Amino acid sequence: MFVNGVTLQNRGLPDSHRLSVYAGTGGYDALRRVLLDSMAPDQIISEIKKSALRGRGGAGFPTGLKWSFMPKGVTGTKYLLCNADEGEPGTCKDRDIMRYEPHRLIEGMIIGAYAMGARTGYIFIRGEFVEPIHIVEAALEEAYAKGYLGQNILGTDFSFDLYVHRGAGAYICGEETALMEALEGKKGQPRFKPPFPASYGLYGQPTTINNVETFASVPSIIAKSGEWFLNLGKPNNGGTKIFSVTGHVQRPGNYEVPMGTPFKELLEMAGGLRPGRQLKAVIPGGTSTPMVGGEAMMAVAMDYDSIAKSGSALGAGSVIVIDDSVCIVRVVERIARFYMHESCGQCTPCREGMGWLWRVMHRLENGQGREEDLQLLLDVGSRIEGRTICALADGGVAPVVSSVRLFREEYEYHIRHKRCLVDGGAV
Amino acid sequence: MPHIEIDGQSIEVVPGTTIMEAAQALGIYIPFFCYHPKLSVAANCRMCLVDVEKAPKPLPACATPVADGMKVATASRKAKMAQQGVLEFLLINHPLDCPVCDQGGECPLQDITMGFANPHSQYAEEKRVVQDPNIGPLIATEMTRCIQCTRCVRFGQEIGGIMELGATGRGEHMAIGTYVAKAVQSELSGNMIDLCPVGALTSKPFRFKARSWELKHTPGLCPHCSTGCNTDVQSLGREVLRVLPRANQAVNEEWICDKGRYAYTGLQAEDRVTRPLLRVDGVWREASWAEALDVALSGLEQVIARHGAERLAGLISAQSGNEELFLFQALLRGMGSPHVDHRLRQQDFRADAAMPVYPALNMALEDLEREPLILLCHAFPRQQQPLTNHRLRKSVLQGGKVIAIDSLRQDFNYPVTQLVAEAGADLALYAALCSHLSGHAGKTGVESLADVASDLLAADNPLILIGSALLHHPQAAAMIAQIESLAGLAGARVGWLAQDANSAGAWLSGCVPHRLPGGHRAQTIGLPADALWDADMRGFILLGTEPGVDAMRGVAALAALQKAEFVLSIAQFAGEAKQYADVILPMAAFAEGAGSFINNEGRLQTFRAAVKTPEEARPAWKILRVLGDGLNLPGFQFNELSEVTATWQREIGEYALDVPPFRTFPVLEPVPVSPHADDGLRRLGDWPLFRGDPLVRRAIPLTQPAVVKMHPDQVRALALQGDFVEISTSGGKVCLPLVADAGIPMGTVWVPMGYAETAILGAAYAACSVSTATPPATATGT
Amino acid sequence: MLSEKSLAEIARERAKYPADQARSVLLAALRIAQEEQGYLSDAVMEYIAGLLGIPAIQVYEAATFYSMYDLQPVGRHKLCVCGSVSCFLNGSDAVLQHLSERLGVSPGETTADGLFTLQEVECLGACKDAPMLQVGDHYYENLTQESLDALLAKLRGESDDVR
Repeated sequence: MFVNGVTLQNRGLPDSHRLSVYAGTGGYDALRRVLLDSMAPDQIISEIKKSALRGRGGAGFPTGLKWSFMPKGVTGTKYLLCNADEGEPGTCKDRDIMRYEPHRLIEGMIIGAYAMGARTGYIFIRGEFVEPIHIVEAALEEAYAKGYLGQNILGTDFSFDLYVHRGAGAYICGEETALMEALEGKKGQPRFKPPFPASYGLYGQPTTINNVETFASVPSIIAKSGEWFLNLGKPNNGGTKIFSVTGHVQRPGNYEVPMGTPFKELLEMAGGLRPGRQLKAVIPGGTSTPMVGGEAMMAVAMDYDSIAKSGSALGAGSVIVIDDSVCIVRVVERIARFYMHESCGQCTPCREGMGWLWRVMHRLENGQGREEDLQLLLDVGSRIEGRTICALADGGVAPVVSSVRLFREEYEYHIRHKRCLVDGGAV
Repeated sequence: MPHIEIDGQSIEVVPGTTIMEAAQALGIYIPFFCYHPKLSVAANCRMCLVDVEKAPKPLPACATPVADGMKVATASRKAKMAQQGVLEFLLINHPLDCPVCDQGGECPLQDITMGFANPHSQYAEEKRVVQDPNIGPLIATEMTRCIQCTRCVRFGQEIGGIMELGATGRGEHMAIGTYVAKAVQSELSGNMIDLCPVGALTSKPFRFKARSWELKHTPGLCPHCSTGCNTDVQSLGREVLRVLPRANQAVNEEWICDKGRYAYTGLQAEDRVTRPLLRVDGVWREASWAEALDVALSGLEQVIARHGAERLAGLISAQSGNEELFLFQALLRGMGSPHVDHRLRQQDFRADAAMPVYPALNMALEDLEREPLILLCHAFPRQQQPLTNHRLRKSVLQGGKVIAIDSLRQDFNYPVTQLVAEAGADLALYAALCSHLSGHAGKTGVESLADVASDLLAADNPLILIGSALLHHPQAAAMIAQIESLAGLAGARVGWLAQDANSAGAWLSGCVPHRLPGGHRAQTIGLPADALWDADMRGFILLGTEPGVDAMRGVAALAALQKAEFVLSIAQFAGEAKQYADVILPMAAFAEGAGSFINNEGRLQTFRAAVKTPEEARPAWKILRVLGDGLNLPGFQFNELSEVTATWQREIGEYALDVPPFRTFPVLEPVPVSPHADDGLRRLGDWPLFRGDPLVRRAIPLTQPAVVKMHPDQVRALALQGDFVEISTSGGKVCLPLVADAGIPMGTVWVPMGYAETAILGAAYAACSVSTATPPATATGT
Repeated sequence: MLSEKSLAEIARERAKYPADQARSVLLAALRIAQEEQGYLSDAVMEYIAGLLGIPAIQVYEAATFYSMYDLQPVGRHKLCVCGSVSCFLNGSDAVLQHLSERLGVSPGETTADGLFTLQEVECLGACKDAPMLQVGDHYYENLTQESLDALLAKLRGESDDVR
């Protein structure tokens, strides 16, 4: 179903979550190479830089560069965190990595910890993911038992402890500083930056945080070289990427494909649209990214730069496919509800604005729309965007504003006729 | 140093300065709500967004550090759009009920709306309504007005030292509240009202009393402790309606404690005296000043004529101004009485000769913040001097260490190493510490004494602060002597944490029986307050004090006053005086008179009247002047307060800010320690925060009932059942509610002083017994 | 207030964090307490505050911030139906309606027998297996009316076993 995967390459094997299975496919060889052949930390970082691996959590920040920010020669513990608080609607890839390939994540983190001098790490898994939590915890036990974690790993003087920290239900904890707050036992409210985590992170100590998929990409890069990984994709967009294709497709699923794969091919992999349906719109990177019209999307290639050119973003690779069976106003109303529910509440524009957007959307959907509402949505959106501590609010604005621009006539129909343009979506 | 430009003006600032601070230095105003210079930066309200060149988004001025070459525009189109947008969001769920909001007229949200808002809101949806938690009698909540700036939450965490308010819920449901509808306990809680930039938290006693712009503001001084907080007394007509802090960074910064904020409500007490009162044949009636003065003067003259002036004594509150303290002692000494005192709570006076000229901190309050090691000797400033305590708290937060020696474990709002004496063995604890310091220590029962000794020895010139509770101990003199040795052994400086707003002035003005104004030795040394009760006194003059609850042995005091032939009480409130006085002369209360106090640092601060005295009440200095004049005493011919002040200043001369903490110690005769009762308990007790003076005792919002506290193990050991216990001493017994408190050492029972119902028990540290009791109908206290 | 087992579990979680960071175990302690007692009462939150040496209000802040904590009693089985966009596109509203009809309660309510609480929740991160719901530790995916009915029967059966 997927070809030449990197982070999910063992998914098809029985018991792929077991250390023995992982080791049988070359697992932990990269770690051995790093520690036993004394690969220097700087060498690791430069290999990651060469790979053009970019953060798979949504922001797409170059991973090697991020790793190089971690200060050297500091006193006290440096921390390495894994962001497994997967929760943006449409995103369900990290869950599968943890369920099928937890050791790939763990090995990636150990290598990262070695490269950055981190002594302790936490994998922050959203609390609802009980099954993945148990699998990762069992995998950690296996890794400890094998001497891949803990004191003097593989007999070297490198030591690293890694634990699972369970979230408790808050999308905002996927924001890296909110995640740190939650790890400290506080409400997950993002911190103002600067200072950045590399200087002031968990417990005020230097901290680096990456997404599950990012870490899971590391062992293969170290084993097969950064250049190899880069060449799987295209310049500045190295490697493969898991795309979670959901919504109105016949075979929703996680598809790990080379960066730059045309959307058209991805859609085919996912079984295409349901019979007789037309592609209306695609949200290419999770609900925080702007919608792209169906026709335009068919011409886009799935990599950071190409999707950006289409006016949206690759985000976490969460491709939500929307066909013509559903009214866009209903879809966006549902998305707006998510952001209202998940706003942490600290910044004024988000706390007040997310609810405002949803209320207008809700009115529109329920046939209470007014002529001025479309302009209002755009105005309110413009007053929220770029004015908050974190990006949640921007993400909440994107689907609203992009859909008003793309599907204005559908909104206007709603206002004038107090019902959906689409059959079956009557108020 | 970074050089930046804001709105075209250049400024060079130290690295780490924020845009907000740089703008304020330039006098450029940027609107804000959540930002406060004394609190951590939250950057959540987003009101201070400004336009920074090259930054794609507007940045919050409060949280953004400057960078060299930065160009900031606070009023560009981009900045204005951002500010207007934020303001609209703040207002969509705000009720806009300014006409019925106490914050109206002094509301940053109102002001900033006037200055920065787009007058047209596009909001047409339903507004949010938030439930109001009841957080006690001091703070009114109207949480629908809240803009979630979290200043109050941060205040509790960072300044108050106990986090009581929190922001619960998430997103638009985020609301400020306490944990399960609890009254806030912080002694600094009222400051959250001042910090609240909207009308969500307002003063409950002030609620709907006046519009803020109607109020007259008079600079005042808080009369309730030795910190000397500067206040802004706000009044309407003849009524004080509010007391707020007046910023003075050297004294109280911008805070006051709840006692200073709410004690004014006691002014409305029913027993306030506003006309002279005479007791004629056992019945009280109002009288004219002329008649009352006649009776007062002839009463005093008769006592002197019949028994001699040495049978006349005067007691004055150290809440009195310098001028009054000075005239009071002049009146007594002019009549020939040496008995003048203000120390009603003290029971051991053997160290009188060794006491300093005045109880001085011997340093600036601000400098306390930088002390690396402080040893508190029977001092609990959180209750006794809340804003002095705030400085100690800051020293601890900055890495300093505070060690406390006391009779019980106190509830500090910062980490303190506490050494708690075994029941009644306070003196022994100081002696043991001295032994450790001199290296002669044997094994002692108190852990960590050796650690404290080594901390003291390792510290460079540590600071010892002696608290007022030490002076209340029956072996105070011996403890002071031990502290002197301790200071010598540890190479420590010593300061006194004075009790009252003008304790320093009382000593300097000669309101002690052994010292004259200026601290000069008195020719004839009179009896100290506590000795008067047993000395067959025939006449008393009281000023601003209620010995029945203000004195260490309240019941003995009441008996002595009742036995006396003539008692003149110059008072704000009639109260207990009706039990013993012959004449009550109505004097000006808080905010009604002018004068001066000397605070713990030796800082001389003046205050003036905010409101007129009610009806016939008169400033105490005028009453004393008339009495002196009527008795034909020299030196009472004053027309203006300023003349009294000048004479006082001349008499006391220049006083030093740093005074030797001890004079020469006399040989101390040992005092007998009262024997233990059968069950071996000792009664601890001191005056709680809101029981220390006649005014605060009458402040209804601050009322807290008297309760007994005992260690839970002690409760079990005595097999006490139920919620009430009976405490008995040789003086009598009282039934009170029982609270288990692990801070009270075994072998002791804590019963507060300052309550009429506990006065019967007599002095603190006396032997007592405890038994289970059924509650009397009136046992909830006053 | 809490069983030995729960306290031991909290202690195990506590060991993950530095000695001076007791507060880090708060989320775990709340979860463990809720697993034992069904919901977080005021008393247990105050107890946890004491256990960790932090102000009770900080416990309450966290308990009201995170959506997995219940501050009121809930049914033995809490049916959390994901209603976010991918599930919505695949019929989550019908799932909710079906359950609502079968159980005779609206979302947010608990059945009279105390067996089920029905809730609509936001994204549970299983979008490719939409529509889905969570009950306790388990995800049930690709739901149909038939599979929902089977699930209800199974949960009712489990409850009978307990009785």
